[in-house]
Amino acid sequence: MVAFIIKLIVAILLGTGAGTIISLAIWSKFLAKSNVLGDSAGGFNEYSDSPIDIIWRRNGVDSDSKNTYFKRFKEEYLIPNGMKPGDYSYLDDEFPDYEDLPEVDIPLFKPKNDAT
Amino acid sequence: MASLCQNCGGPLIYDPIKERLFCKMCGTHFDVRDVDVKDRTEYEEQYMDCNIYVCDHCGGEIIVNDTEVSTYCIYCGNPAVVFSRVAKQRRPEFILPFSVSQEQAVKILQMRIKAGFFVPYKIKHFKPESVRGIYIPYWIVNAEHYNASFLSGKVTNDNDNTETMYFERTGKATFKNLLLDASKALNDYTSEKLEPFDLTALQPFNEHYLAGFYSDMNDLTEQEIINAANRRSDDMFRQAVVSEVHARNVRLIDSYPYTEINDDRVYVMLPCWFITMQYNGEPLTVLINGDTGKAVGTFPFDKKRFLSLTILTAAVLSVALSYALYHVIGYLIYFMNSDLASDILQFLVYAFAGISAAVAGVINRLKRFRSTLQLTKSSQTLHYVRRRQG
Repeated sequence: MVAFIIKLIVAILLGTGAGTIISLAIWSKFLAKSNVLGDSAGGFNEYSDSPIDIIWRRNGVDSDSKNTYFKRFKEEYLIPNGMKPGDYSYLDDEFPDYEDLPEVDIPLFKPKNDAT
Repeated sequence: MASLCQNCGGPLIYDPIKERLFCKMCGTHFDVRDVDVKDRTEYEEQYMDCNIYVCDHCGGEIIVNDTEVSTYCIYCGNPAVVFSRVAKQRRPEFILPFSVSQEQAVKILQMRIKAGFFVPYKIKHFKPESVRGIYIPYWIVNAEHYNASFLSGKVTNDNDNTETMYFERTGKATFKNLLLDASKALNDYTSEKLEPFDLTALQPFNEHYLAGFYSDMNDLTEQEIINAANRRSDDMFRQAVVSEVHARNVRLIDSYPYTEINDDRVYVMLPCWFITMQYNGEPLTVLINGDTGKAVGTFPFDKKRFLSLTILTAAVLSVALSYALYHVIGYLIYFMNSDLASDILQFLVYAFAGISAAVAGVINRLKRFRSTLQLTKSSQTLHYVRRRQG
């Protein structure tokens, strides 16, 4: 009798859990299809004619080697090739913000809802 | 700035259906190229006049290019917009004229909403509060992207055990005709979803195409354009580099991106309809690509309908699965130490993996739903203005 009850409880718990998850998976998919419009943007293949050109690959590295790797990438690849991340000093000044542009002398019209 | 009718002097409006300018007063149509453009100085070739309104609610700036008066904020739907100033705007090199009319845009949205099973009844019978055609400024750039990516993945070792491994991948990619939204007031993730646009249909810029529409202006510095290109290129590289690692459950942990853009970037205006409606006191803004008719936005859902269907399905599945599992457990106990038991156990392991994947899928979908809904709700517009360009 005890074995029967334990078997039943285990079956009900697992069955209910799995049933709820499957149900949520089904209806959340329907929900996304029904209520989300145009949830896609141009990706890699839309903007690049060729796949990524891999210039360095290493497998099985230490989990904490990320920062060393990024530092090496910057110092041993980017900088020797004339690329300086975060350096914008080469940009020219001929790119004014619109706030810097001169205002027009005479407004083209007087808006009706001008509260100012 | 206003284009005037050569017959009666009335204001002209660009008609996307006929692809011609139309006089509301006398009904005459004109080819855009036939309407006179005054001779411009070199300075006028670079800059043009515009009228700027500011929204009291979200701080968004609305640029009006003809004699129309702005009455609603195009970003958050708030009616409290005030005329701010007349200013100069950088003249775009090209423009993609609207090919979807206002009526078509509303119809597209109505059709998409009607097809939405979980869209609340109130939204299904929406009346648009405002429908505004806006030319969004974009930069089209060619980018050389360099990226160091740090990834993890599951592999099976020599002892048949699963372990997590870490990988380094450095690569470069060339992105051509990359679109970068040049308006800080519009969230980049929203404007990216409006793509694609048919860039082969771009026309040399002519103010007459703006007649009857609003336009936004570039407010990015050159450094911000490079940062936007870097962010966008990094996103695309991250998606693609995952396939460069041969392992299971590959995850990108972090990346170090660097992007260079060529000097031959082009400043263009691309068309979009902003449709604002109210739902339970909150404004919702849906965007319709003015070229392709693609709709972008997320609607709140009918919670009662969703919950009742989920609970009903869960109940039916739970009874069936519990019944099946009860018997499976019985078989397992009865045939313990046999091949059948090990087969059943293996099946259960696969089923458990499938359920785990389903849980992850549900969580991801609901998280994504929530974030895209926040983009549609105007309360996030404030964040658009403040947080844009990372």
